[in-house]
Amino acid sequence: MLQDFLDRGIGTEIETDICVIGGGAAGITLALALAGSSRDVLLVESGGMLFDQRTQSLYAGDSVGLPYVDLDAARLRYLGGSTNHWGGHCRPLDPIDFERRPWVPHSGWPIGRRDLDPYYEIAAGICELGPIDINRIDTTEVPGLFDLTGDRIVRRLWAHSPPTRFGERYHDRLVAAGNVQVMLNANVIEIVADDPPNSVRSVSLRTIDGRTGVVRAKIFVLACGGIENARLLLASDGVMAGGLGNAHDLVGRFFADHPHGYAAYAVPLDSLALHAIYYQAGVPLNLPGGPVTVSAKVGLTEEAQRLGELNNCAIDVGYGYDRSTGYLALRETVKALMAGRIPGTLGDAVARLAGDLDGAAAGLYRRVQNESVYWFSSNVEPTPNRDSRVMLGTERDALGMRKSRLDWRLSEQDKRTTRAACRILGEELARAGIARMRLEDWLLEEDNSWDLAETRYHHMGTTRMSDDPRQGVVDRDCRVHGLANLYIAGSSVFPTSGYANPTLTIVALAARLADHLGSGDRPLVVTQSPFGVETVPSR
Amino acid sequence: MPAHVIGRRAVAAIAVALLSVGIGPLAAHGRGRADQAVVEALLGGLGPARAIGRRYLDQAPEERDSRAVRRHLFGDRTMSLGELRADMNRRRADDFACGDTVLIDGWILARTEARLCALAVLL
Repeated sequence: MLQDFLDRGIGTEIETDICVIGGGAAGITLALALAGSSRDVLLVESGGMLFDQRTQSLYAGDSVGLPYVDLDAARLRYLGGSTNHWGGHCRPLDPIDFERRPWVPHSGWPIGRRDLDPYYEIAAGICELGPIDINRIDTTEVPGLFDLTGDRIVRRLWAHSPPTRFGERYHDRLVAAGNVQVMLNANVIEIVADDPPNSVRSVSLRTIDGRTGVVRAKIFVLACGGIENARLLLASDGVMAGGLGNAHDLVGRFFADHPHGYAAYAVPLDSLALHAIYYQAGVPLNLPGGPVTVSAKVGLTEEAQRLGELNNCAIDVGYGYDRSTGYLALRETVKALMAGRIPGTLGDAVARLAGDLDGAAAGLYRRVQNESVYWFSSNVEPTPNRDSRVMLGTERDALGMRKSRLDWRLSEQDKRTTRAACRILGEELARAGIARMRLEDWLLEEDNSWDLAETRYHHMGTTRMSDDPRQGVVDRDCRVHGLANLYIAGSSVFPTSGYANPTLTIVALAARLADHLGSGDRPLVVTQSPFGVETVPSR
Repeated sequence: MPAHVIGRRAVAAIAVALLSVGIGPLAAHGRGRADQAVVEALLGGLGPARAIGRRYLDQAPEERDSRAVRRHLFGDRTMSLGELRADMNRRRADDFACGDTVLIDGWILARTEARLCALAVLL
């Protein structure tokens, strides 16, 4: 059933068994997985079926750390959530990502990769990846793909979702589920706990036009995304100073995203081989069970990570305009002059140009010839950083809630890993006679300065998982420590982030949580048919 | 960060030079001695190599000794140019495989390549 809280015919006091807050990948997966169970489920979504600027603006906040995309552009607030602008790249986390590694501070999940394997299969179905063996994705044969796999580097594959827009794709199934109620345009502005705070009693609703309501449930699941989950907990400080689940000052801390910067470029010696590594656009495969699309990156082997005490990392091989110092300086200067201004850094640009005339000439030649160069960017696993955090700002949004303030930070170890990973790949490319690599200037500096091209919109870590309440906000079942009936779904529970895009793991963890919440009821098996995903009870 | 002096053409030239063939046999050189002609033949020219060599020697001033660099590169062996080229290629591949590389102006070079370039400066 689908309802709109803007409709004044809808009651303002709602009772249900399980209240899921947030209709993105995690929330919709939970609702889908619990559809047909004996539990009544209410899925509360802030937005409607389509983008609405007033609702979207509720995501606005400020950023005081590393440069970050505007917070109201980094995610989407309507049914389907950020899957509505999702790129669709799917890959499980690696087994080593779950390990406690002495050289990665605060690393270690209380669960292992094997605990998630069955749920990755479910997630692959929900994300419509096709008949790929997601838990052995790297063994997929990809004809024509140049494979540099050796002791130090390994080919990593991603499966491509269409991409699945969860709100649109699963709308009909949610509507048809007899025990699921989707409530649109209902913003949760506070989680109300008992005093003392041992459990959650209700959540307060408010529409953008000021209509209020309350939801009482046996179980609440927060599934609003890596920034908003923390914001809502921090804002819910009625009975607990500092916010719910925040007894140990962890809520909002350890915010992580995957930094993305151009790290190196290459002079090809064997263009065909180098081009065969570049498959970001996706290679369509006809597997026995049907079509699948995959793309490849180059990753560090576990052995290389352990030996070098490096974080996990994968490297994109891309193709674009010349990245040489000389050409970049020339490009920057010409663009400024064409815009009718003298660049403030003209002296610096001229010095860089003079220092690399060869590169400038080669870049210019390529520009005229409409040729591109190979560049490399890393997807490094960010080191969990307590000082990287989501806080509450001083300004308030249209609902009266304090806006988010993001202080995103990276660590020297993240940069060291990026540098080492690129260097190892450069060595392997040179050894194979494929290319010679040059690291970008910013990467050569042995400090914590970054030249970031953009962010990945991967918000993780702000309600991290640990069995120890002093180390994590939620336990291994994603239940908030100290609160009997409040759970969290989404990438905010990731204690470490790996390098893989998080959506598949978000969906897998949500399916696992649904299993937990439905335990004793109807554990789920998801099978895939040519017509989509069928969710069926296993018994 | 020092100004950039090493262009991609220089690196590509070094990368390709050791792989190239057909320069022709050079007169056998003396035991343990690599003269300028040998280095020039191996590198395909001295110009770009010297720029790289100077940067390498800035990083490794302890190698500002042509005898020491010769010893690192050639040991006491006597080889034809063809054998020498094959040996350098093998050692370069080994350097890359085991990570014995240097960063010269951001370019990733095998230690063997960098030493050959240094020798071009020292001779």
